[in-house]
Amino acid sequence: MKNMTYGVANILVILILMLVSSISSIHRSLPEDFLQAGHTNNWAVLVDTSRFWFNYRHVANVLSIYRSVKRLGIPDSQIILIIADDMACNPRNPRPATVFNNANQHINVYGDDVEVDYRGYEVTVENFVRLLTGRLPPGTPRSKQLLTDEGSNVLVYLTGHGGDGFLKFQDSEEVTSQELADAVEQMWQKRRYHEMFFMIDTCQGASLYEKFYSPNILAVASSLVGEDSLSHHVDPAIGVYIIDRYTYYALDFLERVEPDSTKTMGEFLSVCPKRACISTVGVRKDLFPRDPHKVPITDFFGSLRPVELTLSGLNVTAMSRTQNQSRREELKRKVSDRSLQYAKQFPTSKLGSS
Amino acid sequence: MGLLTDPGAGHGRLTQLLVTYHNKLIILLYIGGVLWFMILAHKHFNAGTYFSENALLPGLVKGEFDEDAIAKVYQSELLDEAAKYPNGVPYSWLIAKFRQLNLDTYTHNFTLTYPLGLGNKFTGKNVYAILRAPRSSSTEALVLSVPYRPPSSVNPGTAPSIAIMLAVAKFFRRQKYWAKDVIFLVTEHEQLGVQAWLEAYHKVTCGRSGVLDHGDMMGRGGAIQAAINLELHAEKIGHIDVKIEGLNGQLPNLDLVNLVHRMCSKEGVKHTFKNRESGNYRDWYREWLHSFKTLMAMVATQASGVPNGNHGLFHRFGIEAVTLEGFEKKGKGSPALYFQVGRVLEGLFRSLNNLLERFHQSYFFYLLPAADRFISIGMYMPPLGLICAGLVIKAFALWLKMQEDSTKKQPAENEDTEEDKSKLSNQDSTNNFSLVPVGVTVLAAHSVSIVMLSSPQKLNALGLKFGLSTPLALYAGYFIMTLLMSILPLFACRHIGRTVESRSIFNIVALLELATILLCTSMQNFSLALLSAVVYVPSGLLMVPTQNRILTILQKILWVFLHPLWLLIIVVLFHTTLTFPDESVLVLSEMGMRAVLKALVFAVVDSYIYANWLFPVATAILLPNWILFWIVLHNSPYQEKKEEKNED
Repeated sequence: MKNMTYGVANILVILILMLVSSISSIHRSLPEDFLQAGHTNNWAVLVDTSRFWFNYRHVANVLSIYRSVKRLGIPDSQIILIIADDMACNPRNPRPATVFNNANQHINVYGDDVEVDYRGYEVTVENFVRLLTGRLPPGTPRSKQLLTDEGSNVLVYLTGHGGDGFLKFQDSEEVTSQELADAVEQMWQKRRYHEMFFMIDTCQGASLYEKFYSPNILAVASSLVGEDSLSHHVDPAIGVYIIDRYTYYALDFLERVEPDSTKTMGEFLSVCPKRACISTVGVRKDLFPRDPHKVPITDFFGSLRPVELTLSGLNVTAMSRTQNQSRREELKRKVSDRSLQYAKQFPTSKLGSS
Repeated sequence: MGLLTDPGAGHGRLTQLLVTYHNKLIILLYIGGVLWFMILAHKHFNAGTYFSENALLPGLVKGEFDEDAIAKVYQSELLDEAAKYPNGVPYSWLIAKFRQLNLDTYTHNFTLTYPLGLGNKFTGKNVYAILRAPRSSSTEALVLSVPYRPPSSVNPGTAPSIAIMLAVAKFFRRQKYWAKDVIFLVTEHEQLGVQAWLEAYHKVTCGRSGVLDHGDMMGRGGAIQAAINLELHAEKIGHIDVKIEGLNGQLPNLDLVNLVHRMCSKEGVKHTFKNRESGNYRDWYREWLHSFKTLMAMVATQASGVPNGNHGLFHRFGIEAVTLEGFEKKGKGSPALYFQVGRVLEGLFRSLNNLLERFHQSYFFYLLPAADRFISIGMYMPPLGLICAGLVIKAFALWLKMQEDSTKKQPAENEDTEEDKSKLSNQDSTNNFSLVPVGVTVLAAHSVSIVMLSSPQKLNALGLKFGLSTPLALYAGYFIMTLLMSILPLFACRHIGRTVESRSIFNIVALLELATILLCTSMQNFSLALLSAVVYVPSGLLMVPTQNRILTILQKILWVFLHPLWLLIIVVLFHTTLTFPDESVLVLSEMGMRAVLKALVFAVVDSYIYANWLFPVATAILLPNWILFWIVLHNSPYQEKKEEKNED
């Protein structure tokens, strides 16, 4: 077993050496985009905070966004989907086990492969803040943890009923904009994100991002303070308002985005002009150092990781057996008092509880 | 109380002004209150109705009802079947139809032991079927009820409503979106059947025990959230009238009323409130008059406390309910057929199905001057407050004057001279009167009315011995009791009338009691309180003993006519005249007499079966107050102090 460990370490050391030597020779000839992307992974936190049948549209909103980010490449393991009510199985639903986001009923957004991570009465302010800050109790399943690091780009999407400075959770509690801002600051201090795109579709949504003070946040809200966000249309067969305006137009845009598309966040921020949304879409850019028009939309909605290409081939020649043997023994002598272990892939909750 | 007990208080400028001008102020307040209430009918002073409950999602769903053809088949079958039972209900047919639809079908028996007369027993049987919500847990239910009327019934028939109910049941059965059970209920004996069914469903007895035996029930659904009572008189409907007034003036939540109107207009069915379409006048006065008549029609119905449809009995159980009465289309124009009515019902029940909680968002206390306008409790209470304020101000002014007269610190300009002598003997005003005779008289008045409240059954039994019919026995009994009551002042005045202060105190008690009665009643049944206040407040204020003989006689005559029994007779006669304006005087008087005889019996029986408050309120609360004022009227005038002293 130990031998094996040494073997792996050996190979790693060699690989790293080779990489270091090669990078200096190739970086000039790589496309610019590859080095610009500062993040190494993508996460999404998609939240519907309201329950009850007449809030069908909020569930449709969040499931639509879920479907889009999944299509663009964020795996289920990196999407935290939070839904407060089960519309598909509501007895009032005349189309059981489905949720639609359009009266044409083309797409069942509650189709296959929907992994809801927090549902029903688990959707609370406490759980939401714990999720963001990583202060979860030991033993929390991985699917309920936001295992981000300093290289993560995080998409946060919230929908529900909001007011000036708060977002209602279920029918009993609210998260205030200050609480939200503090939770995000904690994330920043714990290096739980690299950049964050905060998107909210509620009434007076802009009030929710007003208090943010942590860096690298781009925020967009469906309506300014004092405005209502409106629903888009009714499905007369199901008998409910089926989707909200802002999310409808955002989806309209996202549907035309492919994983390799060159569309930018700047374009996304202007998907819903006032004549379409009726409410004014609010944008906050002051915390975000980059120009949104130069940020590819896939930085937040997709999961493209930077790949580094080597242009010249490398020759790796095998060592002779005796040479290898002697080298191993030498290494063993050097590090015999030190036990080796794998580094943790992701920062765990221990960080949070310290 | 500090203000009333501190002898130093009450001599400020403001109170002096109040004492001097209180009569003018009271007149002003009364007129102001009445005008204020009248003007509320104008659209500038009331508000448009709106939905408060988000969960209803009114009218979002497209109607899918398409069983109108089968409704016609049901109707013709039912009419054939009903002809076989001229006085009964075709139970087997109804049960068979519900069973064919695979609904849980039950019957429910009830027995009424008539509390008056010979104590006859009547039995009845309701039929109901429950559509179980397929994907829910049967914790909540909705009711669609129809009163069955046999061909011999005096009321217009309801066979079309049963036909559409069965068709709707057939349609509902196919749907999978039910979150609540739907109960289809066919009742017998009008309101009696519904009352018995509701009592059995909730296992309670509302009226006097031993009167209505509600029987037992085999099948139940969940807690009933809302009920729609259907009374269609024809297949081709001209307009649907939405009836809302329930037992004791209770109203359904405004959201439900709005929902019905919204659904009717969505499906293009003409809908009215109080059978009055919303008028479209350019002239503001005619527009106001139209609204005011609608408003007063509602006030009149609500004040009677008698439900104007079977919906009215649901309200007590926290179930919001309305009656949809459909009248036959006469004349030209396209009528609403089973298709439209079915769609209205479908829309209504789908909206009600969406409810998550009981109706609670919108108003429970309101008045409607039109189908789509409402006056909330916050708007209509102040006028009544102004009207009743007169009583309190009068009482306060009397008290101040009494203090003033006895202490003589500041003699008022209008009453003087005679009282100078009594000044010395009455240094301390609190010694001038004793509360004991006042209290005893008040107690006696109330005891007499409690006796009257509890006497109908005994009077009935007594009447049977003398061969009198129930109404005659009741009237005779009450007439004798009233006569006995009228001589109460003979005894009472001797005790109270010893000092002027006692007489004033007695008047104050009577005034304050009247104000309290009216304001308390307004919380329960605003319309009753309003109408009573408009009549009793000015009359009560006028009941001040004077020296003028003619005036005294006029006062007494007026007050006799305001005796609750007399008032009942006057109101019933008036109502008969209004309902049958074309009849000759002779026919009218005969019909009126019959109605008058029945009215008292109905009031008594309603209070026994349904726990209607009107009879108890009139006898146990209004009557003693009437006696108090009657005694006040027989007291000597307050200014005649010297004379009194000499008599003593």
